[in-house]
Amino acid sequence: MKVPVTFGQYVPVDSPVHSLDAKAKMGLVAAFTAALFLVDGPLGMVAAAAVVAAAVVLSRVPWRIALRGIRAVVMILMITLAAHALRWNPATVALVRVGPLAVDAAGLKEGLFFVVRIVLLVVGTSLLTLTTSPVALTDGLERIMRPLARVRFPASEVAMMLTIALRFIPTTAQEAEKLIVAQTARGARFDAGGPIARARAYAPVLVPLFVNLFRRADDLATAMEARCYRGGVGRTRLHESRMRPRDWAVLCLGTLVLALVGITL
Amino acid sequence: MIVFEAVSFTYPGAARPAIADLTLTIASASLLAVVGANGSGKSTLARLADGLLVPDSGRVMVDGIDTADEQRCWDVRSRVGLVLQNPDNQIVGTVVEEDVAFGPENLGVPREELRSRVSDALAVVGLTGLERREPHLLSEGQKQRLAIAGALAMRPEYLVLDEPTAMLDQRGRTDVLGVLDGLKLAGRGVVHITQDTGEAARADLVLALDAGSVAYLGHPAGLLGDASLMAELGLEAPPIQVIADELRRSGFTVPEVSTAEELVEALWR
Amino acid sequence: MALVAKDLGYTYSTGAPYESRALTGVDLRLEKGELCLVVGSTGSGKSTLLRLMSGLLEPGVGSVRVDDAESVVRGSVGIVFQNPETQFFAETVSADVAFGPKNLGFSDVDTAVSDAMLAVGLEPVEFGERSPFTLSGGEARRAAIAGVLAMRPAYLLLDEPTAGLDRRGREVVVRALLEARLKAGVLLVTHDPGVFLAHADRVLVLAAGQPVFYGNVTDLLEDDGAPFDVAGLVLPDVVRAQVLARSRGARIARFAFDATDAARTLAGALGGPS
Repeated sequence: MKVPVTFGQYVPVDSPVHSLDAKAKMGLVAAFTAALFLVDGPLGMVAAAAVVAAAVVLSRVPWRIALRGIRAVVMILMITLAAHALRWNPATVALVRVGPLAVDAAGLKEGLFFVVRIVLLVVGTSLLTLTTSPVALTDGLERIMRPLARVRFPASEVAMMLTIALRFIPTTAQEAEKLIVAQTARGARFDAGGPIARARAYAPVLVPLFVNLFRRADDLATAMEARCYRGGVGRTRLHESRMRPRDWAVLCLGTLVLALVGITL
Repeated sequence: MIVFEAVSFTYPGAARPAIADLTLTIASASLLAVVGANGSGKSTLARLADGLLVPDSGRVMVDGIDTADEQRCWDVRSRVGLVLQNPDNQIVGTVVEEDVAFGPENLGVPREELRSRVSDALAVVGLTGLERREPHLLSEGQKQRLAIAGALAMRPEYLVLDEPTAMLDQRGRTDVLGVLDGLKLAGRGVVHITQDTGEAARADLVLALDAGSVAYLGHPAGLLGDASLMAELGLEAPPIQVIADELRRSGFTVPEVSTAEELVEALWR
Repeated sequence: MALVAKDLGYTYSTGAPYESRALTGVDLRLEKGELCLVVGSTGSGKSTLLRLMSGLLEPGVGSVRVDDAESVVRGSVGIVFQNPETQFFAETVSADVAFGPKNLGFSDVDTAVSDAMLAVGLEPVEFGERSPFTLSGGEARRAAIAGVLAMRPAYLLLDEPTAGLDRRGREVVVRALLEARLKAGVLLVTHDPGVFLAHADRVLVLAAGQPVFYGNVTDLLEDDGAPFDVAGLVLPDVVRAQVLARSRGARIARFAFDATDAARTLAGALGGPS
């Protein structure tokens, strides 16, 4: 049975944003985040929103998917808004009042400002993972971390770790699914009882899953050694993303624009 | 050549040796089949040939390099490619070409050459065109061939494969066996570990292991023709061989045959 | 009383761009005490068929009925997946085998466990308290099969039950399955029917999700095993030798499935040494 495991969030289409080097995108995301926190007026927010909207349109990622990340932070958004806008028995004039609870105009404005900031942050940063394949992402991370090797940070090993994790997530997911089906066929129920009973019901899945994972890890270690893996030293790479002039140009101009927005607005 | 000189190996904590006093020569441009029941030492032999395990006594020489020489262990491993039983557990890359490149990347092969090594290896196993495919979306046969390509990209002189056809259907099996024949013709020394004596019959030389010791080393016909030795080793004779032997016993003249076609051709001319 | 599939079909991810039709138009009937083989190459829909027949998947089209019930009754159909020994989780073999009958609320779990272990040739006294992770290949495979037999299914479905085993392992598993057939209907899915052909009451050949043959072994071989060719499979050598001989004019009334018997059959057709 072949279930296409749609991995992570990557949307595999061709666009100028997709073809931008991962490191340039990471740089832009950092600049964007900084700008977002420097902005202190509604005009700045509008500018930042325009930047995000333009990037999404350019990336050809459907809006539905681009905005999906917001779902995860809905609770945070509501709490933020409530914390700023709601007042208990205020002395001042309120917009709406229900019993002792009141909505304060200035607070509401402030709350909305923070909500928009969070939304833009989520949508803007998720565009990185939506338009960059996991492989390119780990590669980019490795390059960015490489200077840290001088302070004995195992950048290449960390990148290898991430690659292997990415490689085995779908395999492990398939295996977990197989185990759940097999144990269901033996009468296991995963939906009955309280939380503890339910957690216990997963033992027949988790135990073999881990046993098999360790077995797999053993094999993988042997295979890697047989293929002469000895850490990052002296290793070349088939794909080593290099910043082309275009990537530098986009990164520099983008950062400049974002800095201007952040400082002036 | 890979030369085993009176090699013995016991896993830590094991009661008996996994390989006992094994002497063997693996030549280039030849196909050696290794047969034996589960637990007879076949996989241990593979790891010894690659220097992943080092003998307790005796020595293994790969083109004159002692596998116990830690200074040169990477020389040994780059000369001997190893393909383990379960391809799923040895694919490192997140896409096909990344995985094939993994070995040569570790050897520090320059990028331009990496490209050609990857495309050459994929061409040998017939996976050209699937460079960007994710491994978990490949069929079992394709995964097995990817694992072989990963070893080939290191341009090894020898290739050791641990039951590469065990989980494959007929088509996958034929594909993999074809790849092995091609490698031998290209001058590689191929060691094919298998449960299937029909596959072993295709080899130049067959080694039968029994509890870590050599039970037979020689031409495949000598082993396959010895029904009692086969039974003792827990091996199943290829059925065509059994039929031919039975017919000979009943007084028919039957030449050496290995396929159903050859048998029937010989009997109904 | 039988496990019956009618016009069974299934499509994965219906409506999605990667929707793939795994199975269409399968009719199958498994009586108690029968052995039915489902053969096909990788991706032919065999595993999907098993999941549908066991009630783990809801049929997209058609129906699966057990003993005239509307759907698959919990506990009536047991399924053994490929490499089931990778599913052990308990500390002892008997605890692992007991998992199914306990879940079904059996009142005689211990009897069910020891019966099942005996049926697959594992002496409960010898193996019951061992860790399932220390068993050999053939033992582990049989213990896993016992785990399903202990639920006393009326129908037992298995996916490639002998794959990856050596000769001894294969022999004991085959013996266990023939034993199981005395009490249940056994359906097994494989790309290498080998020795099972000798015992099969019915064979279903699948090619790319479609049935290309359904009937008994004699009928399968009537046409020189043509359905196997269509499905990209090869008949076991023993049978193929006889099929080839017959196509050359040899008179073969009954096919033998064992190499020694096949030699006798061929000798008979040749009419004595020349």
